[in-house]
Amino acid sequence: MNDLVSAVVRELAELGWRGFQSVNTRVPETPSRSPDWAPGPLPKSHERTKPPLGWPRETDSLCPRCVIDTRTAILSGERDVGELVTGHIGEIKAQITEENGRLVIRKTCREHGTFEDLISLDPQFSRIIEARYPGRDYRTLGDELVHRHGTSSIQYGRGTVLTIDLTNRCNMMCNPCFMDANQVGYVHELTMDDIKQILDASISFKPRRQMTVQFSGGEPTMSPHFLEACAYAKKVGYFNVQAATNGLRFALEPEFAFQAKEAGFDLAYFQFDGVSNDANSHRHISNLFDVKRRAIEIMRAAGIQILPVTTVVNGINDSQVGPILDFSLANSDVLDGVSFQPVSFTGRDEEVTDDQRRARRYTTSHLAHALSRHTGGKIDVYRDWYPLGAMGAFGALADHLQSLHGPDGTSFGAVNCSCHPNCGASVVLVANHRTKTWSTITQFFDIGRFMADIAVICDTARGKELSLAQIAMSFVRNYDQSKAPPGFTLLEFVKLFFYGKMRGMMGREVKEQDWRILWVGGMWFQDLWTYDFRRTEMCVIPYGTQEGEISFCAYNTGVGWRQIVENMHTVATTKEWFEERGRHRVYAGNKAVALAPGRRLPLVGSTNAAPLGAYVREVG
Amino acid sequence: MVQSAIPLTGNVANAFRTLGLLYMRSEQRVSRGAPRVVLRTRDADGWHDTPAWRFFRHVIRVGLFLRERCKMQPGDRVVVLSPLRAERIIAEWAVVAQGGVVATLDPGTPDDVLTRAFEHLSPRVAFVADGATRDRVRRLGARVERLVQIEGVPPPDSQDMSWSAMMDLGGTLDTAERAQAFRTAARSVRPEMPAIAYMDLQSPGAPEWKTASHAAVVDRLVDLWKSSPARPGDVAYAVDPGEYAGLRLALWGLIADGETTLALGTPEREAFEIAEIRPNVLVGPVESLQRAAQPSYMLRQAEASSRVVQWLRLLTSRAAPRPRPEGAPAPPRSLTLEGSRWPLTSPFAQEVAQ
Repeated sequence: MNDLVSAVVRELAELGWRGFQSVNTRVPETPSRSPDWAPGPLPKSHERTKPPLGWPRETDSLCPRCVIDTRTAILSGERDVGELVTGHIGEIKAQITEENGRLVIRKTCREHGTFEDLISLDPQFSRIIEARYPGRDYRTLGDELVHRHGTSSIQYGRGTVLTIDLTNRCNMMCNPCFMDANQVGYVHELTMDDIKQILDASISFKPRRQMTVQFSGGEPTMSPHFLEACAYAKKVGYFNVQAATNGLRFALEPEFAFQAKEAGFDLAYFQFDGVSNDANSHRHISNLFDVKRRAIEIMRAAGIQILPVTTVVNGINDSQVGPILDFSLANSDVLDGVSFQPVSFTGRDEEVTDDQRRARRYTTSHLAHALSRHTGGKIDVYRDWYPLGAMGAFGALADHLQSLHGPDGTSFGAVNCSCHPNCGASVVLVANHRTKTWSTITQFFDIGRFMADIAVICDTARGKELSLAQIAMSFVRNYDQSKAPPGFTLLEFVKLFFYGKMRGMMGREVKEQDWRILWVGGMWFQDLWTYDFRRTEMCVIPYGTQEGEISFCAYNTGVGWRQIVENMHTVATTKEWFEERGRHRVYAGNKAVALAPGRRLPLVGSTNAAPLGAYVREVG
Repeated sequence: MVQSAIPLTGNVANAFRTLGLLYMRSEQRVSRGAPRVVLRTRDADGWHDTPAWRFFRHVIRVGLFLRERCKMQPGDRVVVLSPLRAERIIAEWAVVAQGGVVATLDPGTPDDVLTRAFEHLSPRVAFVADGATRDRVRRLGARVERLVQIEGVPPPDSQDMSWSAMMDLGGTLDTAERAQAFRTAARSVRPEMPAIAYMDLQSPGAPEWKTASHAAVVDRLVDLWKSSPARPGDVAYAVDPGEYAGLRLALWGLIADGETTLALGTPEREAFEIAEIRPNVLVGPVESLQRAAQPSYMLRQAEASSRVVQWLRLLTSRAAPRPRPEGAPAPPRSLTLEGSRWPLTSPFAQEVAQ
């Protein structure tokens, strides 16, 4: 009966939408508004550009050997760092082609020969992902002092996550590690003034972007400024503050979690490699999974959201992607999904042999097929995956809705992810954390058509009432109750979408509900073998550094801006640091982390019965 | 992790017989409650808030500096020679939470008293307000191993350290392991151990130094909480308590009660500041509060809460200064109130609670 009513409502919405659009699309488009935060009018869908897609295609890449040689020469002072800005060091052409049912990237350096690597093991999957990309965001304006890294400069988009490495010190000794933490022989650590300067610079140009600020490292919670940095990021106007953390600090010192939350820390981008101690053994702590669970318990109590992030290495922990998804679904009240990161051979992995690299290579397409196999096809490879940049469509809707409030509607543009479709893809799920029921959204909601509808709504740019009416009709006409998971209704979906994700994108409070939206993504960072400058120039996860904002991949790999910036701003050798400031503890050597058992503080009140809640459990 | 959600009342506090446990209890309670401002201080730019997370973190960092770099052991003396300011309260808490004995002195303390104080206490560390105070302490030849200058930077050739350099180092020392070691040390303090050293101004002759144990101090705080229970949203305005040890403890009680925001007043600007923040609790020597009740303030009484105005009138009528012959020196402030004695009868509890 419910399905019947729903089908009727859906059909009415369909008729309403068609009827409305038969007029709406014949009336000239209303000019887009120009919010104060933006460099120009909100772009129409047909004004958005796309990078060259499809294959075969040629792109600009790097010679893995030339780059390392050049970087070494710069670091030793033989060559000037300015050459990175004015020159094309190590740049060579690369061809992306389909061969034997796979997508490969191949490039030849006159000096070092030919390099080849895998882009995708399923061209059909990659073709669909590229086809679903809605287009680039604004070109930036007035950012000459922030984006000044030659051919590695970011040119498009407003960014989604601003990563700031607070320190290169770490309390673990992992492999892989982007930054070779604890091993480089020097300490690079930001002062509070550095942090303020980076955050102030990040809002100095247009578009003034609402991004997630993600403090990283090393282990960011080891920075003495971590809490102050969280507070300052909130103060300048960012509404989501994350940290890429291994969680040890929270597991070992619960009070720190509560203080971090109070200071403005929202979400732990949580290193999480598997659901057993064995599956984490490559991190060289024998009870690491136990530590992770303790950290989750404590962060849950403190009200910190958690997004597990797993670096997936073929043959090392690729068997864990399914169990990790299960773990996330089972703990969907506290986990926001899971971010899989197919391995990028950088940092201390840059010296990997060709054979090792081929054996360990893992791509987004590997991930899509692995999750499909694990869920028995419930996550469909071709129906459910969208490029990370598809989120840009929803960002455009958020911008449009906010612009309807007038020029003073907001001082920031909405979160807008518009990265290159080869940078990653994701599946969005709904999960009930009480009943453990879950489903992909695309099973019961036609996201592709909804995105097309959004483009019409934003392009025609009618007033508030007409825009909201169109959104409502589109929402209903694309929702199929008969395919929704048990207990899930259109009303729940509306609440989830508008009181959850869309509110979040606009910086408003997200309401707590039984059903939650979980994001399962594959973020495939580049390395020297897969490098593509078309991706770099569209980066939405820049690093904020003392030398401006640098594309994630140009910083961690590419020409290696990380090593250059860190060397330019080294504060001490590791030896000096330890002598002057004390040695920090590093958990390694396959030893266990001692987790203090919970015990109670003394009971309160010797004469009167202790009032309810007067027991204080000591944690740690 | 079930945590206490109730305010710190006398009954609850009875179990926490040391300031170390009280610190931990307050830290836990405040962290798990609604975001709270612990301290408010004012400068030319206006009021600045110290939220709970920052306050408790700073206490840990000062404590780690004292433990790791100054090798402070339980029972070691630490002198704080500073007017009322946030750093002073943070330093006091850091010392007592680690089992040290804190002696807080007014920078206006005469040279001979100050010299005797350092001779008697042999402090391991002294926190001094500024460069002038540092120079004075050094000129007097005071015996102290380490000197931390709260405001300004000591000369580079000295062994002394600035507050900011100490906090920078304390921040690096502030790892999970060391912070937990700080808490373990706080738990290990015993109630009978001395917590504060104070001058007994009632003793004949030169003021005599005495100590009060953690248990005795906590008893005083319990009395305070019983007589004047904290309520959510309380804002207390504190005038520098000077030598009144009881008033200094009252400030600790307001920090630890889990509810109150303590605004630290600026001498000579009390009336203006009270009107500005509209507190519902006042703490300070009577004569200072009287100053706040001068006509200039009373004219603006509509801007303050009626309770404050009522208290000020009460204090003014009860503790009106006796007329002093012209040219006679002002009597020592510390002798004008019972609050200078130990055990203390806090003017806060005695007067304001009425």
